[in-house]
Amino acid sequence: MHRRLPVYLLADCSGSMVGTPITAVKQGIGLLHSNLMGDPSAVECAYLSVITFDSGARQLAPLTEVSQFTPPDLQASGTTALGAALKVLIDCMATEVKKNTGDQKGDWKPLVFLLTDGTPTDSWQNYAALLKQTKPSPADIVAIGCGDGVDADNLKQITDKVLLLRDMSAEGFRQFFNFVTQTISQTSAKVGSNADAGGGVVLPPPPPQITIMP
Amino acid sequence: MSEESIVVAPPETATSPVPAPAENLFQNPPAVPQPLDPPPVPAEHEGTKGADTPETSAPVSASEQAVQAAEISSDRQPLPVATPPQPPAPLKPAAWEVNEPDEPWLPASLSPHLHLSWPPNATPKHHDHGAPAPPTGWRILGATRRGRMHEHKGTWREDALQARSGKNWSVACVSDGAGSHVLSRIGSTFTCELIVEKLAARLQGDAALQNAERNTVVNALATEMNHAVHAAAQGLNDLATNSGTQAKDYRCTLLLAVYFRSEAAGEVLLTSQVGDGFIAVLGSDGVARRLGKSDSGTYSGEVGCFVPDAASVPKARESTDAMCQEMTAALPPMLGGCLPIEAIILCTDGIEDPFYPAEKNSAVIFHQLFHGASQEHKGFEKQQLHSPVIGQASDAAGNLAGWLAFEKRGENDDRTIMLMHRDPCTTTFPGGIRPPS
Repeated sequence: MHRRLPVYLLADCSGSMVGTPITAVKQGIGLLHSNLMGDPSAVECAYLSVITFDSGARQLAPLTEVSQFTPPDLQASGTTALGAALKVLIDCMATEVKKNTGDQKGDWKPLVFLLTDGTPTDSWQNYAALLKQTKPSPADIVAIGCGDGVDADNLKQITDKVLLLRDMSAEGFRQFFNFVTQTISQTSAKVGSNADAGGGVVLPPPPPQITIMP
Repeated sequence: MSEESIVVAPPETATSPVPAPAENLFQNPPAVPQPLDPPPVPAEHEGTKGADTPETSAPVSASEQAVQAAEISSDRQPLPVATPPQPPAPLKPAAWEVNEPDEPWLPASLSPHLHLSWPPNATPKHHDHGAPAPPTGWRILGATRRGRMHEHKGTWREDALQARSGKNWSVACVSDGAGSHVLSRIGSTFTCELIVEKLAARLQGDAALQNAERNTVVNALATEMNHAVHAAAQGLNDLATNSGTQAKDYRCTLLLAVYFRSEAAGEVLLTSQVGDGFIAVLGSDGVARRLGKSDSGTYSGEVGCFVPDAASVPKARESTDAMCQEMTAALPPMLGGCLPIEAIILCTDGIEDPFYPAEKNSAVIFHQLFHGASQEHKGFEKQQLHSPVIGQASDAAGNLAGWLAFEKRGENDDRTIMLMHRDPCTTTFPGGIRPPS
């Protein structure tokens, strides 16, 4: 009955993430969860979902309120089916995100964080175009390309908000997940108080490990 | 602020000096000279301050602790035994806090430029309510409440309200400062104070209005209302120029109602709206009708036009004309110069959202104000029960404030309601209070 802020985390679990990166992503999601538990506004309205992609894509955790969320276990192997991930995202949003009806206000506009370290190995451009060009936009998407092997121009086809995390160490990912936490907290604090139309999500200042692509 | 109704001396005859109109609904407290902290350096930034994220420092392992302890005490005491690390305690969700703002309500850099009769050192209360004694046969009550989000972050309430009554007129104004604009509380307060001040002066001082026929009065009042909105927008733009801030820093919504009565014109009620929130009237037929519509986008909370944007002045006038036509079309004809209306409410989106849609649920609000709530409305965790506001002899304003303290998950914005109603009402609504069919 109440309005939720849906948050989708799309995590690249391809073979190149084996080792420190995938462990750091898993711990990062745990860190994100425990930080949001410390924010009563996020506890009330943020709902988290995890979608992973490698040679295929699936929703590992459906939209779950923060106090009920359990960070899932992540394993890395295989290729980078970004297209499949975007399709899973589109399908999940269609099923899970409540729209406005005459009688009831729907959920707030979803936040999506897409993390990838490589180039897509499947057909993804149509889904990207759907997400970027549909008006009004179905979600506020933030794409983070990590490491040296990522094609950032690809990510620009999905969203204007593209960040780069060159340093794939544990500390780099920790800073990244703190940044995601702040974005979610900031957004959940903002919803419910009127704001200017067309603003989109406002990102907090990034830590030194993260650069914003112009 | 005083919780008693403010008593006004009866009006004097025409040969005597014109008495001052009844006091403002909300008397901001007289200036108590206090040293002001140096103003914060205005930060140029878009978007709100983020909620502080608790720093999670890496826990020091038990073995590291043991080594540190050993280095301190090596020659004197036996080495402490390292205790095994405790499993982390299960996470508990954080509770809401109530924090006081650490910056002054009015930044020192603005006070030389803010020209109002209202003392610049006053600090509006987080929760407030009041009711002047109306000589008009209408009662005005208002209540406002700082929302949980602002309480937790330790920031100021951004909703504002003000009202005033005279012998045969009332003005009520409500405004909600835009969340992402740092000085919006100044914008909303200034807007309410200035508009009420200007309209009160015009309504009190205009002898010609008292004898004019209805159409003339309607046009004159609509024009005066729009002049007042223009003055507020201009005033905020001037404030920005003079103080080196930007007009958009003061962005706020507007809900305005003006009531007037004379022998020649009968009763006139005009309204105006910019931005979100809603205005609803309760007809004597028991039907509760929302007037106009909210300016908010697909996902809500996305207002296209605020005071003092340039478009806000024509938008305000358009809304007055539109809502006037709606009332004429929807209500039965007037009898004996009396509007077939018992009550009107002005509500910010802190009330519009939990009672969405206002078209249907303003009836619920009026019902609860008349009869008291017998149980929580659907989806609400907590509501004040059995405390009607309308038709209450004592502490109606206090009951309104109690009504405003409802709890609903996710509804953590400031909230404000201004209620104007006949006193006494002409009906007890035998057919019930209901939305339009």
